Amino acid sequence: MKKFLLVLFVLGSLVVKAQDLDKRVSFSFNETSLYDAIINIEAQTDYQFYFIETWLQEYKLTGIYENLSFPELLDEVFNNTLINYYITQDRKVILTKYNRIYDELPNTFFEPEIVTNTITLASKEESEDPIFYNKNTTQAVNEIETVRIGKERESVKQSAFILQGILANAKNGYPAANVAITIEGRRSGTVSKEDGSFSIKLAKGQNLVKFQSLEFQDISKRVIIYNNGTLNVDLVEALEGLDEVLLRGNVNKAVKDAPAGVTKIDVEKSKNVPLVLGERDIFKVAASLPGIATAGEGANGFNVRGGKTDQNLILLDDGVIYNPAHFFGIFSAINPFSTEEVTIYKGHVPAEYGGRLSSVFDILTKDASVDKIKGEASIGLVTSNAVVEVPIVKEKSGLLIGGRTTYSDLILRNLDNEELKKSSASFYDVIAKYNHKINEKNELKVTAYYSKDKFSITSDSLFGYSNRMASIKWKHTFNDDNTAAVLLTNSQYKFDIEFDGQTNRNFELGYTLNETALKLLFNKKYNAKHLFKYGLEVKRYDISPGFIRPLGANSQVESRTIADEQALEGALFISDIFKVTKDLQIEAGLRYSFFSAVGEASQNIYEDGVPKGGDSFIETRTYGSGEAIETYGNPEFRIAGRYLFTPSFSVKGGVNTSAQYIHRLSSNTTASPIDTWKLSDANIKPQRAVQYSLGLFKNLNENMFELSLEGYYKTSKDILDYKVGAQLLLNEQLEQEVLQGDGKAYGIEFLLKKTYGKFNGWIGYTYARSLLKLDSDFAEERVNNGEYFSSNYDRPHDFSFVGNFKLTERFSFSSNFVYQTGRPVTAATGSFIINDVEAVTFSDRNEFRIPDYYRLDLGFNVEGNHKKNKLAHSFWTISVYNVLGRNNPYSVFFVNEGGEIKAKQTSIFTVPVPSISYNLKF
Amino acid sequence: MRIENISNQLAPLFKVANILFFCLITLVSCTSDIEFENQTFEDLLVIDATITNEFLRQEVRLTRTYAFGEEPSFETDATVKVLSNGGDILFEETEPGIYLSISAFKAEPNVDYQLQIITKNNRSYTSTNQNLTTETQIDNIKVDRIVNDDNVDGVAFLVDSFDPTNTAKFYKYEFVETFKVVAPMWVDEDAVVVSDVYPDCEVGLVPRSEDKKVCYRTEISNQFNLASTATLTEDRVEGHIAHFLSNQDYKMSHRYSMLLKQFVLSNEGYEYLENLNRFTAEGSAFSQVQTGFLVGNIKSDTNVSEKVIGYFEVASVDSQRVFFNYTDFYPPTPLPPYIEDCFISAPPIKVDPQREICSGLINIINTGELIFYELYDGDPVFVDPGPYYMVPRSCGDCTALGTNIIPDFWIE
Repeated sequence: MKKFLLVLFVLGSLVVKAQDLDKRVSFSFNETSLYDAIINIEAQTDYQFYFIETWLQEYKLTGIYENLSFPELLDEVFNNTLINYYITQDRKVILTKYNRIYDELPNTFFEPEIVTNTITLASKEESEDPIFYNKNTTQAVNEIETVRIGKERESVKQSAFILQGILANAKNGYPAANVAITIEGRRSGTVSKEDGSFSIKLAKGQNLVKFQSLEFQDISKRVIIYNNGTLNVDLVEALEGLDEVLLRGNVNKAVKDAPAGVTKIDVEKSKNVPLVLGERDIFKVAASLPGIATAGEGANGFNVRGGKTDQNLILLDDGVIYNPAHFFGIFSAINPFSTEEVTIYKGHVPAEYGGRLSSVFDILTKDASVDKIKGEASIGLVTSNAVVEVPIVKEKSGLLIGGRTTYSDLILRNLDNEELKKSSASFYDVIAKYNHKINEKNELKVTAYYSKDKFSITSDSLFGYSNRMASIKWKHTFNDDNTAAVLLTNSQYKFDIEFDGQTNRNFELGYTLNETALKLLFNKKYNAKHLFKYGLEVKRYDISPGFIRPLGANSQVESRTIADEQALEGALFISDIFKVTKDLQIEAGLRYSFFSAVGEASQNIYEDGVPKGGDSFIETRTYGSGEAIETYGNPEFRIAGRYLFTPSFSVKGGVNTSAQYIHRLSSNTTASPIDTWKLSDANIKPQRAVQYSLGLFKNLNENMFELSLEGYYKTSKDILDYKVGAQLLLNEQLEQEVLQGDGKAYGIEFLLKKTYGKFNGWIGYTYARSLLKLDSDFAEERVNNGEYFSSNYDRPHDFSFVGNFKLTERFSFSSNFVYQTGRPVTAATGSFIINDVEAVTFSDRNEFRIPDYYRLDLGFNVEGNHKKNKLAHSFWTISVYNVLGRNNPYSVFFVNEGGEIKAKQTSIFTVPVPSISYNLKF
Repeated sequence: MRIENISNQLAPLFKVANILFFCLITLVSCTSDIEFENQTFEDLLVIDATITNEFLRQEVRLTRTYAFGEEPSFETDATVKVLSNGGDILFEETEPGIYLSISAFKAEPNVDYQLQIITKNNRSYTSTNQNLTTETQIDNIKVDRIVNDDNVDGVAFLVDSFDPTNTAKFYKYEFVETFKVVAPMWVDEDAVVVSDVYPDCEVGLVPRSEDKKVCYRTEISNQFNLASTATLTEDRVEGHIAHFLSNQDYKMSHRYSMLLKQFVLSNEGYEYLENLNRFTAEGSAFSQVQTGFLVGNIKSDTNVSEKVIGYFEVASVDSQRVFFNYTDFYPPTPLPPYIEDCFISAPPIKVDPQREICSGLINIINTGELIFYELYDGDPVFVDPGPYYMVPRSCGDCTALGTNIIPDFWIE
């Protein structure tokens, strides 16, 4: 029995295929109750009806309906009733009483979004608002208030007056736009503007003015007018009528957003994508989209549009996370349950962000629920995860707490193998977020995050690293057009290594990076055409680049500490989102960033124009506390534009320049957790980049398909690299090992997305190159003869497919296929003997490639039943990673084994890896 | 001065074990041998030149790089000399690619030495100036039974050395091992061919003319063994494992001797070798070191961008010899497995009427591939047996592995 009413509101075309509707049907009824008739029709056709039983019981039906199409039949059946019907594409018939279901939105529906939705925060707020609702007519019947405007005076001979005013949302004071204002018994009417204002001419005397919109409850006012006057009305949101709504927000976003190269990942939606060991991972989902890649399965970090892994600004609630990965990048350190969404800027980066060349990963944590306790938990083979949201002050504040941990240690300890028993690997991450809506004008959000990894591979070594982050965000609304936010964040990245062996060289070694930033951000809506965002950011870095100290009484290791480094980084920024015409929108931003390495510190000074080394060393200069060692400034231009050729087709382009003052040091081919970060100084220049991008965006079939083709060309300067065999850890003359060169990257990205339907997913293909050039007048500073060569993450062809197939509401299949060109490697070109030992010579850097990479993952998801009032919803995921069992090589290397050189390869996951996880949500 | 990298010390720690963690999850081995062929081959000059403070004819070796699976070729007919403030030292080629100083000399402290090579195609190569490194003695070599980090039971050679001036810091260890080999299936008779003229194919036994039971085999270390004290408060090498022998290694079966040489290297020379070592060490599965061409201290004068392999080092050296017996650490039996799997066969004498030749056992005896062990005793397991049980040569004749002349230094 269909006892509940489902109001499914589906945007876009939901026209049932013509041949289905045209199929002829015949029925005959004699004094049949409408209810029985519908059940009868349902039984004999493949349509399903949704309705409330009582609606139908009052009607009786008599008649012979022959050779009618299905809609014709319904027209006949519901003739002379208050019932309206709506046929969905998947053969569902939704019956409504009185009101009708619209299958298209009012033209103005998306208008207000255009201006703001390039900024995630803003669009998120909007999406909190109900966009559509089931109007319940009974609620519109409010007592009609009478308002008198002006005084009836005989002297006034006018027969009509102007009534103006502002309509606002009673809940939050936001302007209520697009509200129809009509006068009963007359044809005239108007619609409130975006700022909520309206103006209407009324006849002298009594008028019944009706305010109607989709968003608010209808309200009428009896206005007795004898003069021009003002009437401000607060409208109540029509929330109560909402039973169940299927929202498909941002449908046309891909086409209408101004900047190209912005990717948004909906965490909830991505939960079906099958992943290794059943771990939901937003970064892995990101990496299946064009332009975002990893160097390999076990590689830390991401390469965005041919950039290095240190060129991504990863922000968790505005605070920087330096290494958001557990266990060498196999797991992400960002809890998927606490994450609301991730916005990745890989092309145009808004002027408010800076400090990294390639991208910004803007990760937002969910706001904790303020009305009821909510939670989500999962149990997997390797990790468990739980998030709880607890309201603190009802309707005002809430606290979210999440934690995740692994039990791999437990598994290792219980193994029979002595070798593995000695190993350990554990990690956890915790997050807490407090959100408080102080009043209409002020909102406070506080986030704290900590992640920790620990692993020990042999009995005598212990590695650990951790990320710590805290952020406070205070948002103040001055008025409808002006808002401001103050952000204070602190981040720390730390690693340490303990070595406790049998000899006299046991030690402890560590590295710490700390940054504290303050950011002021103002939004000013100047008028309907201009939205300004401006502000400033100041950041202080404190780095302890390394210490080593003896461990244990017998250790003869000399305690040594590399002097701390400090720096200030600041930026002033302003951007204008300018709606030039209805079709042309420009986002123009300017960011001026400056950086100063400051004392107390000492700096090695070298002769100019010769390689830095013992011969060119002049002196070590010391600087007092706060004294500037070297200062850099860079204007950064962030310009993007969009032109809408048709509402579903646009072209976007942009120029983006950026500068980066902190660099990750690694003499390995892929990043590792014990890579250090180094600040620019007198010897190490900032990295800079320019990116030009152009894209075509087309939505098809009423936004069911999103199609995009984007191209980019990026050049960069002073990209850090290192001399072969460079020693980076605890090196006081690091600059002697560093090379700075030019980078060049270009690519074409194709993405076809099916956004909804039983089958949804995407196909992405990227052709991209990423090249580096390390040239110098001096042979020892040249790599590959000073010519451009493939970077370690240059993988020209990258194809990915993600597909979800919904079998029923409860069962779904998902799959994920990846193909990538093998990554470049430096291979041996020959052997030689020196000191009676066989060694190898190597090719030019990255002259060869390892075999191509491909992998297929499959998942099967089972959701618990969808009973509305069930205490908790459960969700099982069964997945198989690398179904094809492809042995994808991760690296190729050469080993001297017993005096003989052998070529070897490593692979991370060589066989299908099955996993199962159980998720619970309440 | 640059400082030794800690991460090198750590490299072996990263090692295979984190691969193991994943092998555990995936239940497979993740590192595998692959066939690799040089796709491009670069023919480069390799200069192996270390002169020491030992008074002898110093040696410089010139070879060329070679493709995998091949043998090195020699750079012959070059002019090699070492320039120093005390005058030029000339070298002569005594064997292909091996150049010895015409007269013996030892490197002296505080003298600049520079290597100069002119090859037969008139290319000139020069090193930077090098000085003799600090002279430091090996204080002690302790031979001890240990279980190493890979859980292998064996014997380790632990070195102690101390430089009070705190300037030596960079050490390299090389060794020459000499060990006694006892042929496990030695007998006092040899099979000989009496006649191999068709159709008279005949074999017989004669008493052994020389002692082939006990021999001495010598091998040279073929892996870098480096140690640095740069991170320590004192320049003290303590308990450094210069070599480790598994108890499954036949070398330690009876009596074993090692001549251990300690070289003190320059900082840059040490780094050069350490990097070569690092590039052929099993690194972490997840972060592989960026390999490439290593620039040493020898450059081509003819073409500045020519790649030259090698580091000219003027190193102080000290050496010490140690002995041990298997029974010092292990019970007399069982011994470690012998180097050769001593399978027994009884090959028949074949009289080949078609080609009119003698073959089978006759050939085997002639090539010395197998050696007499016992008379065939009629065991039906052997199909078409010959007259003798035969075993691989090294099982009955130790001269297959070494010399039966007792070395001068040998002490029982």
